[in-house]
Amino acid sequence: MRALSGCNERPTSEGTAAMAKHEDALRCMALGDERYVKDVLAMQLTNVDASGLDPKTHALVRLGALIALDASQSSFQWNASTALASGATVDEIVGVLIAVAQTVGLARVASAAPAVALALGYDIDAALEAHDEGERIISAERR
Amino acid sequence: MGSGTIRQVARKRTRERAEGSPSFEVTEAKLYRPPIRQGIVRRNELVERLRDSDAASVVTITAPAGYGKTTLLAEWAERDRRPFAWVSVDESDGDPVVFLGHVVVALDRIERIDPQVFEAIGSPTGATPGRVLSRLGSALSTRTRPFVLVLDDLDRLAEPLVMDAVTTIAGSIPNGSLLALAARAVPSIGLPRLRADGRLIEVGVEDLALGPPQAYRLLRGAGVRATRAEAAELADATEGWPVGLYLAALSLQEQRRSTLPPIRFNGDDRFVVDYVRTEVLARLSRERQRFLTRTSILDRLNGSICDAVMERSGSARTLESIERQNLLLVPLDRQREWYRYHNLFRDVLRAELARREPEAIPELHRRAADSFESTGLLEEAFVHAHASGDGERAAELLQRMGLAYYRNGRSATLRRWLDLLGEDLVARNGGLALMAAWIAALNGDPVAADRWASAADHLPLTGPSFLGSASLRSAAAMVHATMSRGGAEAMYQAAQLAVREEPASSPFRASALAYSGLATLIRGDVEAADALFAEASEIGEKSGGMTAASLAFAERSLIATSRGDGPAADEYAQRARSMVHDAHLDEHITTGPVYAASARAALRSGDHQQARAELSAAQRLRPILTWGFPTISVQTRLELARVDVGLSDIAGARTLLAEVDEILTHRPDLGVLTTQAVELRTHIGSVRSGRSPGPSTLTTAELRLLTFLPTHLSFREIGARLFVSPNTVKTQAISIYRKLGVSARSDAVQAARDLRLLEP
Repeated sequence: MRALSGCNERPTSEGTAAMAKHEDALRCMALGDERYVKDVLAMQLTNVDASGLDPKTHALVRLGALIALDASQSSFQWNASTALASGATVDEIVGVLIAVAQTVGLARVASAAPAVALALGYDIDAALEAHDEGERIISAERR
Repeated sequence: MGSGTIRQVARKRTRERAEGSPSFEVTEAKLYRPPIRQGIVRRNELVERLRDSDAASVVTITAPAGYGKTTLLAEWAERDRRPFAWVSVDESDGDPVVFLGHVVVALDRIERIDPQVFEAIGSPTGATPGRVLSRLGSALSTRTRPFVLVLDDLDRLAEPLVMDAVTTIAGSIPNGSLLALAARAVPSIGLPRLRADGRLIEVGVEDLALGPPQAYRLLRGAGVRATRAEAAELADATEGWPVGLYLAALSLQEQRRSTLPPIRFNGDDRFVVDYVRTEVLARLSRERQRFLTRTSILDRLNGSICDAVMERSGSARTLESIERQNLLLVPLDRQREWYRYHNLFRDVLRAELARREPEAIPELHRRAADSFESTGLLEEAFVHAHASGDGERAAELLQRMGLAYYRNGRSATLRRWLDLLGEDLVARNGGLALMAAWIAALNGDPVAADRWASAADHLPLTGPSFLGSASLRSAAAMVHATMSRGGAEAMYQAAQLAVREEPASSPFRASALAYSGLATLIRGDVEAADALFAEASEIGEKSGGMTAASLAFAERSLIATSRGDGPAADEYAQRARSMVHDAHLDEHITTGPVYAASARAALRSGDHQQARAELSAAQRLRPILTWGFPTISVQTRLELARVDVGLSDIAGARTLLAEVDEILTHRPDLGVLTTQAVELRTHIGSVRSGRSPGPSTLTTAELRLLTFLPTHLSFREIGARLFVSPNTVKTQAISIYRKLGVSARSDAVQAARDLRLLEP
């Protein structure tokens, strides 16, 4: 198994290096790796200052956008971490789902809820399997 | 069963640790290398191959029962110049402490092992496999003499965490040395990688099966007059299965038959049962048959235990004669005092007993339990008492074993026995319910801990205290104080009860005083709390109660900090910290406040790097700082959050506060701690944090997962050990990678090591 390399390493030779590069690129895009986004995609990861919003509001607004876009688990994951780190509470994050429901539609919310839940450490799939309240509590505790 | 103690070995090299006197029973029988028996067919080629194994690190010998795996190992051990460390694995090795302890002792007998490793194993808080393994790993890599470590009967190891230990050992074997594993099936310990690197030697059925010339030699060795042609025919009929050939030889010897029913090993053990019953047992006297089947309930036998089970005398001589006549019995020591039945035959004999005398079995177990109990071998007595169906007796034995096992860090064994007893039985016994609660709490399972503690509330408390305190009542009081289930006031009352019950200078009194201090502190009376902590630290130091003393010093440090008395705070923090270091309390719950106090001291002196180091050390404790120990868990997190704020790491502080909130939902009444949490949250609520989430925002669940990343386990296998879905594991892993700024597992491990979140 070839060792994984970082997201920004320069290729030293052609052929295999080119192949390695595309694998790394894909992986970094899937993870939303910061350095990759900044250096290669040349995108500004966050524009908090430019937006004039405080960090918490900024994160929650982006969450709304992600829900509307039916984003990937990885995107919700990072967004949730940022929101929590900026001082949002779990209730506020769930509140965003409620707030945008009318605008994005029930289908989007139903699709986003498990992903947001998992990002907050609650595995809905596992909870559905649980036999009783105790097990459901345990699956929520494992945050 | 000859036994030394690990403490005795360690005592020769290190100074005595004052707190209690933990001793680890070394079962010599497990370390005994079986001698080579008469008439064994030599396997020269195979042994040569094993002796010339320079490039390899691991040897696996995999074949069904009766192919001579142990015999091959014994022969190789005799003819190899390297010293052999031999460990026969059995069910007791499900406890990592037992397994690693015996491995370490076996290696130590070849070449001195760093005393630190012994200390880590004998630790009263229960050896964290991670720590013991990393120390063992470095001990292995510093061996100067090449050696071979044998683990025989590996299939008897079911516990995944212990199998992980075997994998780690396999990866740490130095050049020129070997790990030799004998098992019925190929163990899953990351062998493909070793195979690809050319570092694995595999011996299987094809290698162990006996060919015609060897069959001939075996028959001659057993005293059977057979021609080479007959031997070849027999070898063909049995497909070279050594035990089959041996049984055939026995049969031929007694019956002078020239033909036998075919005795291939066809993979079905029932076939072997039938064959042994008709061809071996049936030829013995009725009395001998009864002896064999009845004593087969014992894992290890000696003369006096057999006498007790059979209700007769002279069993010692019987065992000797059985051993001389055939290979059914394997000696476990040089004095020929202890034996065990060959694996294959033990299973057969037990099946036979169940068939012939099923109603007698409980009584036999009862006799065995009596005999073991009278010689003080409580663990064996427990197993047999339980097997005899006498749950009450088994429960009582377990309660008596509790203290010694808890002290030696064998809480994994205790947990297994508690599970074996079953919830109903444990829920009826106050002492055991309390033990179950305490062990669950220490293992980071607050839900189970709470459930068991509630059960214990309504039960009478009789019997010995598993904590070693003055009484079970006192132990219950201390558990209640630590778990703070009834709020601040109840915590105080409980701790005071323990203070009154304990003798003036016992280490438990120091603990009780420390918790009284904590209860007083959260009730808001700082002065009185400080006085209690002062008393606790003094008694603790004098009586060897290091957990209490270190906790008390840490609390005094935090109090001094709140008063603005920097120098005093620094001094107390220093004393607490060095106590933790000397007494190996690094991963004890009471060390949370110690790290917090040290971190604040470092911050005070402007040493940010040191502050971060202390923070990292505390992070490793977070998985066990659950709402099972609400007071210490909340207090530690609040103090660490303050340090984070001091380091401008608001995100880290928020992560900790989120966890505080979660604990408070379970235990809302924690006095001033509750208000402090609100205040701190308000204070940082208004602070802008510019940076994206970093390592300090790792959640407790992510920290738990982090400890598994260095292993070879897949996400699914890790999920199985952590009791979460593979989906959750994957999500958490991605989160970990992002927070550490990496995109690969090995990079995550390296980054975590650099940050001291993982042992190097």
